[in-house]
Amino acid sequence: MLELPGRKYLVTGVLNDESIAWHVAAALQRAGAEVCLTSFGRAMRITRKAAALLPEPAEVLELDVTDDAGFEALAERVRHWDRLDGVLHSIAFAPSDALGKAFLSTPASSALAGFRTSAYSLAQLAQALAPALARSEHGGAVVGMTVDTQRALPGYDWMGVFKTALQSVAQYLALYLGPSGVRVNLVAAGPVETVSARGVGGFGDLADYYERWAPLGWDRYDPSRVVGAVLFLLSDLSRWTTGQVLHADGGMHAVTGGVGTPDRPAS
Amino acid sequence: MPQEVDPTAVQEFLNSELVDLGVEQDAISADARFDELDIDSLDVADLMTSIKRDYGVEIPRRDLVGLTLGQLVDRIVTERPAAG
Repeated sequence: MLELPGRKYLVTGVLNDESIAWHVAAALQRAGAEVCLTSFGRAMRITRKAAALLPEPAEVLELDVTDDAGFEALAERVRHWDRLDGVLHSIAFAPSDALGKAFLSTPASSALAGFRTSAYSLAQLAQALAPALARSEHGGAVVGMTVDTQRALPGYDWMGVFKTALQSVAQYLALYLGPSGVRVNLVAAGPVETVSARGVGGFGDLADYYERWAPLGWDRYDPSRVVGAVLFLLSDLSRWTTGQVLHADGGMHAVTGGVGTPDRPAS
Repeated sequence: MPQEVDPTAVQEFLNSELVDLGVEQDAISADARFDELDIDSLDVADLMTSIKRDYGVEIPRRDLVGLTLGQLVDRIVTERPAAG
C-alpha cells in the first residue's frame, strides 16, 4: 500500500463515483493525501455529491478548461498553497458528430472544440500549476488520461486524434517543465464504463474486445484497474520518469486479438 | 440494523430530484419508464449519485433500461438494508 501522508493533489474530471478520477481521489485519500477536486457548469453539483461519497471531504473548485480566465483564477488560488505534489488531468470532450463512426463527416468546428478541451487543456493546466508543482520536494507530477493511440479504435474517432495530440502535448511539457523538476506522464486506460464512455458509439463492442482478448483479462466495470498506474505516476516512485505513457489495459496494447480463440475465458 | 425505508419517502425524494432536474411533474408517475423521461446522461448521473448519497444504494446504468419509477423505488427500498 502506497503511503502519501501530507501530500496534496488536485484532481480534475470527477463527475460521479463511476469516474476514474473519483477512484484515484479516493485512493489518494486512503494513502493519507489531501485532495482538492475541480469541476464546472452543470457537472458541478454532481461532483459535489460525488465528493461527499469520498472517504474524506474534498473541496470542489470551479474550472472551465475552455476559459482562459479560469486557469488564471486557478493559478492565483494555488499560489497561496504551501504545496502541490501532483495533478490529475482527466478531462476530455468531443461533440457527438466527432464520435461514433462519423469521422469522415466531422466539421472543423467540432474537431477544434474537442482538441481544445481534450489536449490543449493539459498544457494550460500544467502551466497554471507549474510554480506550485515546482515547490514540491518530491518533484511535482502531472498525469493525464489517454487510450491506446497506437491504432485507430472504431467509434473513438476524433477522440483518438485528440488523445494522440495529448500524448504529444505531454512530451513537450515533459521537455519544458523537466528543468523545474516537474514530470508529465499519461496512463492509457482500457475501456472503463463511465458517463463519458457512454457517449462513444461502439464503446460496448470495444470493451467486449478487451474483455475477450487482453492477456490479463479486463472488466469495463472495474475502474480500480486503472488506479494503480495513476497512483504510481502521481507518487515519487516515478520521480525520474517523464514523457511516458503507462498502459493499464490488461496488456491489450501489446498483443493482437481476434486470432483463434483466447487461451482463457474472458474475465 | 439500518432503518427501514418508507417507500413513500423514497417516492417523494425521487419526485423532488426529478423536478429539480427539470422533469415536468405530469411526466412523473410510478408507471413512467425511466428511459422515457426527458433527462440526459448528466441528469441520470446526478440522480444516481443522489440515490447513492442518501440511500447508499448503487444502481448500475444497465439496470435502468426499461425500469419504471415504481420499480426504481422498490429497488431502493429492497436494497437499502443490505447497503446499510
